[in-house]
Amino acid sequence: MSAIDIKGLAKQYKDVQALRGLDLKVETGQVYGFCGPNGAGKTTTLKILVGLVYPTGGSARILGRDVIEEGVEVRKHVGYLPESYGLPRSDTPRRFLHYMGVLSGMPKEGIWRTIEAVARELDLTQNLDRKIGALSKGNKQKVGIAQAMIHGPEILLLDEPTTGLDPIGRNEVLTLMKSLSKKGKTVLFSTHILSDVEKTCDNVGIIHNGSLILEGEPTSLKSKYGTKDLDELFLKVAGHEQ
Amino acid sequence: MSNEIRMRDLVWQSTIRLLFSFRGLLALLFSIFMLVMVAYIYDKLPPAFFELITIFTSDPSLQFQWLFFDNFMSKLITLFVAPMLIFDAISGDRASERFGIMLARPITRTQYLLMKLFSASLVFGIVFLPIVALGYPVFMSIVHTLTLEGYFGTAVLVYLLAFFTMSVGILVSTLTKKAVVSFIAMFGVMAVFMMPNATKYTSDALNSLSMATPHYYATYFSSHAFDAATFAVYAVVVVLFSIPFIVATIWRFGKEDL
Repeated sequence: MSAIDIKGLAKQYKDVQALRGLDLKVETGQVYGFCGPNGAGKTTTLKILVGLVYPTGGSARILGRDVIEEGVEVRKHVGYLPESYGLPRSDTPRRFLHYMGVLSGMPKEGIWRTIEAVARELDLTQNLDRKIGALSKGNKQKVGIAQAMIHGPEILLLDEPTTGLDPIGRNEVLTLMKSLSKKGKTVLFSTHILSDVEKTCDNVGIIHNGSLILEGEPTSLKSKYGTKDLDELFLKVAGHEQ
Repeated sequence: MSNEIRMRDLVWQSTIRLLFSFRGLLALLFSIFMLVMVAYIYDKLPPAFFELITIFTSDPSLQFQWLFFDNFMSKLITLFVAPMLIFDAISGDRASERFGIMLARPITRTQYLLMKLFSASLVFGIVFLPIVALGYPVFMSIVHTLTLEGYFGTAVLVYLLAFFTMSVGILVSTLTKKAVVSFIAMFGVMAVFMMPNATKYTSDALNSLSMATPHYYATYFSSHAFDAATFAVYAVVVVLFSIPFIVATIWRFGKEDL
């Protein structure tokens, strides 16, 4: 059973067809890079997977469960980092993560310990009791990733997790994704920074105009199309599609 | 990990966060302000003011309730305090792009809405209770004919009126992401609901119209002697007024792409 299994997924916003029969499979323990230009349908796909947006066609299953019909059960196993999100500025990461833990149904006695553990993993310990508004952008992003990880989900859906971060912050996030994968977690992350994908992913899928135009291992895709990097590959394939 | 979400935990967490927020602080300040004001006003009011109230009722205990609950508290609560606690419950999360974090948790949208509604109601209860409880001995010393059940019965109905206001508020809050728009819209809607009741003594038509608003039932004992059976029925009636707004909110928000 695939961790994520999307078949013929479609989404029509008023005048815009955001997804046109998207098919995608992510196996357990993989880091999957979901790439494409702005407006390709990456965010819509991730939002459908966590039940924020309703599809107009097709189906999406996570760990064998339908994301719409069994949304609550699915979300117990999924952590989600949106592309843009507001954190409560006057709150501390510790209190905020506690709130997120309660909303995720974590047992009360375990939440504080889990917060410490997740903070250690993200190198956030020394900032746990500072106001979120006073944190750097990189540390705010870590708080965002921490809220996605707090309930110990098997699957992480990260929407543009490295956008806006400096090279050190980006590297930290990419390293974290790799280490999560080694622990058996499945990571699906969207990005339009293809060098991040090359560094991190077991598999890559390129989405363009709402459908997947290319999928495979980064190295084999490059050799198959005779390109030196994924940027060149993307331009070649996307240009051909257009 | 159990991952079993209990509504009680959600509401409690949300209540604590609201209580210690800026809006919670404002509500607490309201509570203190009301206590001070009420004690001051009742001590200083000229007898002529009470005589004026006899236009509406000759019973001194009802005179008190008319002034305190109907003329004072219910208007402040429905126009300002309850809206203040709920107006950006949803629009605030929408504007600050917090849906992606909140609703990606293993909770249903209905649970999320009810969490917001009940936590705002609880915070209101926390700030309202001291006014009612501490106010009683003060008013008892001024109006000796005041009855315990009449006083607290009316207080419960005013609390339910605040719940109704919040039910309207949560619906309004789902319609916009601008908090100011939400607050003004709530003020307008509540003013429309309140108007027939506030002017019901001026004509029979307005009196009939006021019966279509929860304010009529919530403040009924301000001008009528208390009786338990009527109280129970009217409490249910005020809650029933809230139900369509809650259902409409759940229906509308439940099918929305966020």
